[in-house]
Amino acid sequence: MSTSRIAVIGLGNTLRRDDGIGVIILESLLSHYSRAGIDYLNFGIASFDLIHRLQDYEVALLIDGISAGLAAGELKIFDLEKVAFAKDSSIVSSHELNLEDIFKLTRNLEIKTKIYVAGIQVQDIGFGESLSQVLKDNLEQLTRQIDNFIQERLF
Amino acid sequence: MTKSLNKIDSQNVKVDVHYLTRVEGHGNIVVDVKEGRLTKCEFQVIESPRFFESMLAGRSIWEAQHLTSRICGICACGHTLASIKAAEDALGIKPSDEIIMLRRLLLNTEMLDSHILHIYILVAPDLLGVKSILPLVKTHRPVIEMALRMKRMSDYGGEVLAGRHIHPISYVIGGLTQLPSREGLEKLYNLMLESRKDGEETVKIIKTLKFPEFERPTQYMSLTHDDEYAMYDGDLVVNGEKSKVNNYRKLFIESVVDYSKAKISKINGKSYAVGALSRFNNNFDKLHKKAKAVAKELGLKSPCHNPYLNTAAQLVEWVHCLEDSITILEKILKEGLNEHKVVVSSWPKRSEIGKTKYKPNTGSGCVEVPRGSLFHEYTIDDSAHITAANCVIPTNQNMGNLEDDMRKIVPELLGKKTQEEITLDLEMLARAYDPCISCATHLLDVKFVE
Repeated sequence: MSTSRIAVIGLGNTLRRDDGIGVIILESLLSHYSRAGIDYLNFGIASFDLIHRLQDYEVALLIDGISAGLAAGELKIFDLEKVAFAKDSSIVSSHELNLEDIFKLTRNLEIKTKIYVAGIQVQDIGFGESLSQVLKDNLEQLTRQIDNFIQERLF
Repeated sequence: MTKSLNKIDSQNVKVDVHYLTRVEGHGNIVVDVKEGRLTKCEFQVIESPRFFESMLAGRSIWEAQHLTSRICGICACGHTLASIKAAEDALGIKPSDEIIMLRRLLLNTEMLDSHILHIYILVAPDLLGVKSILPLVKTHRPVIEMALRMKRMSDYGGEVLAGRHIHPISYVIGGLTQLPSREGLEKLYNLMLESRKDGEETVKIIKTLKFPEFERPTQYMSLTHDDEYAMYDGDLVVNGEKSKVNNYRKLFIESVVDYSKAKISKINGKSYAVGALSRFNNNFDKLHKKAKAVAKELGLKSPCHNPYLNTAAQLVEWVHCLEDSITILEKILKEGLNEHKVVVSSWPKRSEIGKTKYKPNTGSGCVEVPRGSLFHEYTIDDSAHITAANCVIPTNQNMGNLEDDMRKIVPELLGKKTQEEITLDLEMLARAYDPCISCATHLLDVKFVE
């Protein structure tokens, strides 16, 4: 239902400190680097709805907090096709399906959208509205790095 | 986590389901039968408490609905509307009929969205004998695509009405910050008309599925209204007796149990149920005629005492909400919306908050959300800052009822079913309530392989 072919989607809960980093970077992109031809979407803590929204676009970049044993605030941008998930693909664990399950479903449904994930290593996902200091300090740089990726790889 | 038994042992059964799947959040089912006696029967909510009420204390009431919409990614609109109603009650604000109509429409879209998620994604795998929706993509692909199409329609409703499809931003105290576009409303109307066919197909599918047979009459609580199938407004009703929403603390008592992070609620010292089946039982007469016809087709009669059929009641409500939404949209598209009566013009600026004097007061609001009656209550001081807040969610209210169901069904199944079969029946029973335990974090666990 969109005329754009590119979606940049922020995920996370802004009331759980660093968990909200995806949404906060999305807002920062909108404020400083908003580009024509891109839909910037705040999906908050929704996830299942991603499936049918993703298929509206040729390419999508999901921005989300990750737990990957990296240094806090470190950014990894990866192609979803190159992520190896566990073999047992039959168990879906929660009501709002987790992202891994969503990705499996998009694959099973043969949704052709090219999906990248910009993952930022979190430090603190306790209750609260502000990012941890290290993520706050890196916010500007993270936003710039992600916009560079958008400019170079998504168009 | 359960042991498989080759032969049926009616004397000793141990069910220990750690992390019940296909519910929102984390909950365990623990049942123990020793020498034929049920010694333990618990639904344990193991999520950490989320302290939203504490988070609200000290905040301006004008921002409460934005904060509380984050309580749930599924019932975000319901929390927003319950919050707004409580705030308006505390501030003495009366919304116009047009605003109420738009709120009913928003609530309908959320009901449509959540019910179809529950029916197809969470319950259907049980009835079709698979563990999740993933295998169904291969075996029932057109059905899954239809479910996604139905969800897409209701998601779009949230986007058009509330500014985005989740965590609404344009619905605020006293009205909306902007009118929904006519183009968007027309598109939503057309999508809803197209969805009728998918609804009919869903009825045919659900009709063929066999729900477990079980009955336990209980107390059913919901809103009720003289003129409509109560979702947005009305009095509370239980056992045929009505009471005002602001008397809810006198109606039910919440208490803490040592094995669960969720409180247990009771009315007259007994458990009670909320949700689609309760609304269906209490307000059947007010359903749209097409929804009544669907109930008849599914063999669902009011009062129904089989909790597994909550899913069937959800489908009946899906039809009702679709038809009610179509009627509302036809009215809006024909008569238009009066911007002066809908759009809020006196929203306080951040710098003004705290300077205006208000009457210290307590306000409460209740709406029906997919899983039942949702309550918000706020006490404000003379600067309209919240000094105390209380949110009562449907899942907590249903916990005691679910456990009482489990206490009745386990002895009925002993000797007839294996431990594995009993475990599955109990999982399905818990899922029938569509519990929402709210984890609300979305961290992706990633292992990078160099």
